[in-house]
Amino acid sequence: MTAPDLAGVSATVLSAAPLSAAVIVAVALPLAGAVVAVAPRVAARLAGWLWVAPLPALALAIPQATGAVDLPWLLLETRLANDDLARPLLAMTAVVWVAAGLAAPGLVADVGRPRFVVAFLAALAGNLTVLLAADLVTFYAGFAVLTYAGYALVAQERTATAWHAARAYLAFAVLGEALLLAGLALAAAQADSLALADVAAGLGASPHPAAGLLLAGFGVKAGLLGLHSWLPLAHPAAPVPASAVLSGCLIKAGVVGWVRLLPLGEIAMPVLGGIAMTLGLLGVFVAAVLGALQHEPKTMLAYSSVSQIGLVALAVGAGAAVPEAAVVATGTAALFVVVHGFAKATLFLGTGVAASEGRRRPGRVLLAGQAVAALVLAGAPLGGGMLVKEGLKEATRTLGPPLGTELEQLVVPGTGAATALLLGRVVLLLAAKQRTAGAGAGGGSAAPGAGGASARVWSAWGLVLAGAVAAPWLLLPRTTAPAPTDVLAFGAWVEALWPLAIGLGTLAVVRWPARAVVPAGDLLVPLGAAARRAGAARHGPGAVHSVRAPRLAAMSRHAGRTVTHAVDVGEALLGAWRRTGLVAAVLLLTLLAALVAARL
Amino acid sequence: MTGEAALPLLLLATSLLPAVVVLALPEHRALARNVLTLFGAISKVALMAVALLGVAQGLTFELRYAVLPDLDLVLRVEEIPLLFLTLSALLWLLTTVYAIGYLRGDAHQARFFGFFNLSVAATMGVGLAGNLFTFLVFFELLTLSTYPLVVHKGDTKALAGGRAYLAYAVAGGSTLFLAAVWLHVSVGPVELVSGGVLADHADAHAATLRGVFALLVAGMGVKAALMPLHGWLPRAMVAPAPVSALLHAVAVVKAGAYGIVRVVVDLYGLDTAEDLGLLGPLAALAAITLLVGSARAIGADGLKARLAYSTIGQVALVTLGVALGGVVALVGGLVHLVHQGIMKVTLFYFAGSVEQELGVSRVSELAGVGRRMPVAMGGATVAGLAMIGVPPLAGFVTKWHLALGGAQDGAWWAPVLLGASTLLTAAYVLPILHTGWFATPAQAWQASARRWEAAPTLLVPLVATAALTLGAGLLAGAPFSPLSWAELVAEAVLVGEQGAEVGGRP
Repeated sequence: MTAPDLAGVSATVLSAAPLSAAVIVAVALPLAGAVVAVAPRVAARLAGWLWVAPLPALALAIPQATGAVDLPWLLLETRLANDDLARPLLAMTAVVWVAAGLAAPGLVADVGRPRFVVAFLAALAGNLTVLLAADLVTFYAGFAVLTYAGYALVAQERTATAWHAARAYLAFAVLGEALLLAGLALAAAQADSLALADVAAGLGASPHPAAGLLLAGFGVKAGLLGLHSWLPLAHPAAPVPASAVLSGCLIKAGVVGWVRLLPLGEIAMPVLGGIAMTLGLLGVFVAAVLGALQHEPKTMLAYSSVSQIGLVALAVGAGAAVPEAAVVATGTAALFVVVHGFAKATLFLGTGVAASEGRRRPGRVLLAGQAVAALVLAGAPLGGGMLVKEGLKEATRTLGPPLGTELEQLVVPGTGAATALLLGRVVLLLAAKQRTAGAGAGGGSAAPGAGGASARVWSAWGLVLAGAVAAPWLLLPRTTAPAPTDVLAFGAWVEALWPLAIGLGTLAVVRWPARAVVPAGDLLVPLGAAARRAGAARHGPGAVHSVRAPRLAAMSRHAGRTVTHAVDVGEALLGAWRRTGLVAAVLLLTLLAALVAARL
Repeated sequence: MTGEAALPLLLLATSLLPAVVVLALPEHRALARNVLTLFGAISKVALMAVALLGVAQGLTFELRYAVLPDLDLVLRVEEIPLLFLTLSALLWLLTTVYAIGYLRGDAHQARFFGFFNLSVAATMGVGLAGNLFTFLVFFELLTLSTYPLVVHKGDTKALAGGRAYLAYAVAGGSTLFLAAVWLHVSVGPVELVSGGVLADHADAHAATLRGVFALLVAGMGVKAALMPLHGWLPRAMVAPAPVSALLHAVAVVKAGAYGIVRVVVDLYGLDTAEDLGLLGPLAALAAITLLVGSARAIGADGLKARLAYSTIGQVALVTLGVALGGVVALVGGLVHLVHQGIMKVTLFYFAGSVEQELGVSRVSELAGVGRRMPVAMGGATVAGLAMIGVPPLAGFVTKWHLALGGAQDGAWWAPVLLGASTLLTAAYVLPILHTGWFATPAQAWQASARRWEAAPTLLVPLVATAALTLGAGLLAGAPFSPLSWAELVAEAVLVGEQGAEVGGRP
């Protein structure tokens, strides 16, 4: 399989009616739900059935379901398509959303309100559109729906923290949308086509600034270092199931954008690739350290997402810099999306269970499951994270010595240490909370089922945990990741374990501060303070409602005295305007009558 | 008299007749007044449907009357005018319903609705104008008939606002008059025809045509609120909400932008304007207006003041569309004639509804309005997001075509400009939405005394235009959508232009 095939619509288009129907239903069902849930009564009824909405999309994950459907009347000639890249992503996305829907009644305070149900279903519809869109406009539309529905999910709890987070989220999201509008328009003009595959190919014809705009625009959504500050604020502020889909699925929309639209494998873009790899690698380690210095598990998990996205930026950067690396890079990115989606959703849902769970036995099961998900991400043997790392090594090897070798042998494995450190701390923190057994002690949301999470929350957590463990192996033959034999070799195990040892060792040795040293949102905090000062200065007393008299008007007032005088006279006659108007209208009518007479 | 000639006449008469009768009716005859005005508005929509179908079948509706030798009054229904006329007819009907609800109990309704109808007639005339002279006549009439609407409240502030409006508009009209005379003297009588008519004169009269163009744009730019000729607009905000809605969405500001479109496309022709080097400066002017207008909107706390500055920026997108010079950008500019209208009118309906129902006129006072008036707030949300350019709403379709068209013609700055405008627009729209939906009010709003959150006459038009905003974007690819029509028009312009070229070089 070559990169253009991956990035584009499958060549064999099944025009079968059932497939078209399935693709349309997958998007239309959650969308219709979002529309009808505007009515409070309907929303209250739907709240318990949210997990049904992603099921049609899950059906599209089977290998037979590849094909496209055209809806020319919709938007600018919408085309939806399911291809080999989309299928595994659809599987992960659908399962994570099913889990979030299952967990929602147990973990969201006002789950039956339209504001949650509509936001949840609209975000789902947007997410699926991003995965299934085959043309630029539909893709961007899905992206935007996901963005703005995501805002409503973040602002859900209506606390001061939630609003602060939502504002940060929105500021970054709008910046991303603006970058994307410019980037997508330039790219479409370059390609002279709106089809996603053509756009990537078109950008590959010559180096083009649009690629940079797209890297940054999607980077905002993905949480690329430097554009990530919204993420550690927004993900913890949302209710737990929303955090799970935000970290599991929403940020992946950015990755999908990179993979679908950047001309990977078409052209060597050393500058762009270098920037992506640098930011990615820095992100892996910086975000891990920033995260480890936090004290709130959900904030730490959000930083972990930033850190993990660094890995995919490294892969995409390698693919951009060296066309030969593109196939492996694309496959690795897809695999990463699946592995991280499941594992991060597990960890987030786990904090929800933990926050509302005080008893001993489930506590141990929970901690064990959380540890497994953490190990998967850190690249422990037999886990999906290890496969991702193997793919990364292969991609970086293509860069050639000395940089490629360094990256392959030292840096990529070393990222496992950073992950192990951060996630190890998350699990330890959860364990500590478990011991103190304070209901609602951890999560940002006050869970309603304080006497123990409902069976639905447990099953949701179990579902994504199973996905995190099994899905990479189920999906392996379909990706371009390394062969299983490589992964089972003894040397590979040793290579996978030494970073874990380093990470966990550091965790044990360092005395971690009891309070957060770096505020969540890092870069944003000083910026936000400056903005508040500026805002306070601007909105000083009396300065709020000032529509300054435009200079030109002032000039005309001084200069054109005659006109002003005439106008004054006119205004004095205001009482008579009705009469004047009558005269004018009659005159006009007479003119019309004359016209008619002239014609007759 | 043939049916083809009767249609433009009827389009005018359906508002002129009610204007005369309403002005003559005594103040207390509210029912007769409302029925008559609504009857006129509904018949006009029906006539527009006939015109749309007719033009789609290739009919031309033209009425010509020689005022002086060499000087005809020409009213003609063709492609670009149809976009403007359909929008006007539709929004006028909705705004009439809205105004009846908004002004209930007001003292001077006869005067208001009389001039209201008169300004529709003027707008129809502007839309139908088949040559510069006709355009000028109705453009001036528009100024005069809207002035009493602007100063409707009659207090000092309203009079001051009205004075600024009149001073600007009369100055603009005079400039336009000069330009028309100059053109007439130089090249003789010219009509407004798809593809432009001045290609033949471009070589002989290049300097004249450049001068005339500058005067024309200056004259229309006053109404279109191109910077720095926009000063009257924020001050004319003293008008009642339905008037502001019309001023911004279809009548005055839009008439100015429509005039610029017709001058570039139907008088000069895109190619000729490009050859004369006129489009670059026009694009620069539009770009500056877009950025500065949007930036000024960010600071304004008065809801209507914010919407006024927003209009300055949004209407500049229409000018930008023609100034970029390509077909795709032209489609974006033309379709924005309609899109800007339905988006902005929705927001003004919203501003008027919250003012009427809750006495709120500032953005900072909107806290809790989402709970009290969810339908109105929902409509404003759709329109607000559309203005930012969020797909799949109407504003996105515009921005996409402008950005794509600009990029295709090598104007790499156009996508960047539109990205920047997205940021600025978000910065002044999103606080409105955030405050309305999420902020907690200082004290709870009083519950509505009615069954609905506000009078149905205020709500129904708002919901209708919000639905149009959604539909125009979501169903952009469907036949008879504003986009399909704009594409049709752009094609016709292209064909006309090629025809003109062929005709010009025998």
